[in-house]
Amino acid sequence: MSVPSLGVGLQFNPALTGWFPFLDQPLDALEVLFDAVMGPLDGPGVMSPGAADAVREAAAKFPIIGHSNYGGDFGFEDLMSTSAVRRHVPLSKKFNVPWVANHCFYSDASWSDVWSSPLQFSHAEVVRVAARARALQDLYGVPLGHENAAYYRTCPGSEMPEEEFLARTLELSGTYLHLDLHNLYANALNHGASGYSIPRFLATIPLDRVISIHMAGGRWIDDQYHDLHDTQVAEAVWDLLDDVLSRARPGAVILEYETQALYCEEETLDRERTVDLILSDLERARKSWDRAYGAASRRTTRSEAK
Amino acid sequence: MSDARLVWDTWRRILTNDELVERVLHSKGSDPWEDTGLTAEEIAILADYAGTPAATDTNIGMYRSGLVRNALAALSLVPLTRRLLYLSGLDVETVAADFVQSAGYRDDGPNFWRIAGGFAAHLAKRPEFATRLKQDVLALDTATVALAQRLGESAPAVWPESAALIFSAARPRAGGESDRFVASRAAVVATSNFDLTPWLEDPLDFDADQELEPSTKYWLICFPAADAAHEYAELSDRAARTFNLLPAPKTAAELSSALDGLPAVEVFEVIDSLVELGVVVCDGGV
Repeated sequence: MSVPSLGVGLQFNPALTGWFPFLDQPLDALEVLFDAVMGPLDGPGVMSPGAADAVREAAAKFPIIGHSNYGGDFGFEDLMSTSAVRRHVPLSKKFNVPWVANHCFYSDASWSDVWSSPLQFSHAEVVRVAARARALQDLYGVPLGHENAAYYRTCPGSEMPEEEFLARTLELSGTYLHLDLHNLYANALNHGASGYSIPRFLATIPLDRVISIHMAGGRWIDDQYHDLHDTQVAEAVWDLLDDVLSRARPGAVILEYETQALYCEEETLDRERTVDLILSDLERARKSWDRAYGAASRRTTRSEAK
Repeated sequence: MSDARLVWDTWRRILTNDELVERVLHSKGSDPWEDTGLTAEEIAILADYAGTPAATDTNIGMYRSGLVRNALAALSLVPLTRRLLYLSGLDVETVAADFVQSAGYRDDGPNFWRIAGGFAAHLAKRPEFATRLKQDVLALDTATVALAQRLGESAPAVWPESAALIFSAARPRAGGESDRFVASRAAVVATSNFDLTPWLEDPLDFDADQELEPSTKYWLICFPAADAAHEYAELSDRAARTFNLLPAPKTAAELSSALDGLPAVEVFEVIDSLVELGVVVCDGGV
């Protein structure tokens, strides 16, 4: 399976189209959260009527990349009954996505328990998760990348570090990685004292299997750092991006924002400043990409060069 | 070593059980856990979570606030109910939290119709929604939820939008005496005690203080296509009765008899109006 080299894009949330001009940006790709645009699992439609027009409009303008947060991909229910198969797979085909990324959490027909349920990094789960990942990738028919998780604690029964779990899983599954650099950063802040190490993580995972990258920001609340996607991309994450781009060849770098008002130094910004900061992050990401792969290496700059 | 499935099941038990939450967050090392009725292996998992109280507290908080968020999001499927709630003067977050707790913190995830139906049923029991008019509205949305869930389990062979297009292309319709007609599974008829027309025409922005005329009305609720939002159409008493007579195919003569001897020409008029909407089809045809 191959992955096209697209460039720098944004994660698209139809609910935010009213305040951020997604469609006016020269994006190389747009990542769509399948969960945000799918029809209810207990209803008739694959796609939510409320999201259909916005996503069709976006798909006419940008290559769409698929992302799954709540697919039940690695839970214990029959794979064929999950949202991943019943909703995400049809959506991926509808929008002809070049790849899909999913999350390394447990869920079934549930959503709210996802973020508290990182996979158990155990030998038994390597085997079970890899089989499920391979089957799901076969159904998608395009590369499936697994996102490293941000978590507040590991799953009881874990036997190895996350990076070793991912590397072993990929050996068995033939699937790929979607590397979230802010999740690495958040875990290092929250779990560095107990041994979590970004250099070791990056030295252990197969970087040649990284098909896409997430960039985001977050905040400290009380004594925990949270992956809230409600600030500019964290400064340390930019350094990680340059490092990874120099050692890997992902198809896209995707920036994530999940709020209508970014926070900056304890202040809630207005819409205009929020948009400015996002555009500034986009420009910085493009510069990082161009430094690594050349000025005419993105989908949009390749078009301009023709 | 804990089996991953057992960890997952045990964690979900904690998330939905206030007593276990209390024990996990505020346990002291010497606390006995045997009275929880859990196995030794499950107790070991509980103790593991209890060993990281700050992280466990954050995870439980995220779970429960996520349920409230999802409950409110699910109401977008039933905009009439949503509008009534938001105009009620109640704190919607508190009402949603009450609903989530009353449902035992169950996580229905992407089964948004189930959540919407449960939330509407929860509101229907509250005094703020006890008027006949509000009960009418909640009942209408409850009928919509049941229809959506039925279609989620089994889709019709032809959706009304397509059936109407085929009918339109096939005009003039033959209407033979041997034709048998059947109602689409993608529609249902609900009754109200008030003329809800202005609210149904503007479900996102109607004025809940508006006086509505008391009057028995029949509403066709229909999903025109798999990926379409539901729509309403007002039916006459006769059309509503006709639709409700057609869960199984009937000829015009059989319908005439069931409609107290309604003349055939009038039976065909009613059938035509429903066929035009795509909610009645010729059995064996579209």
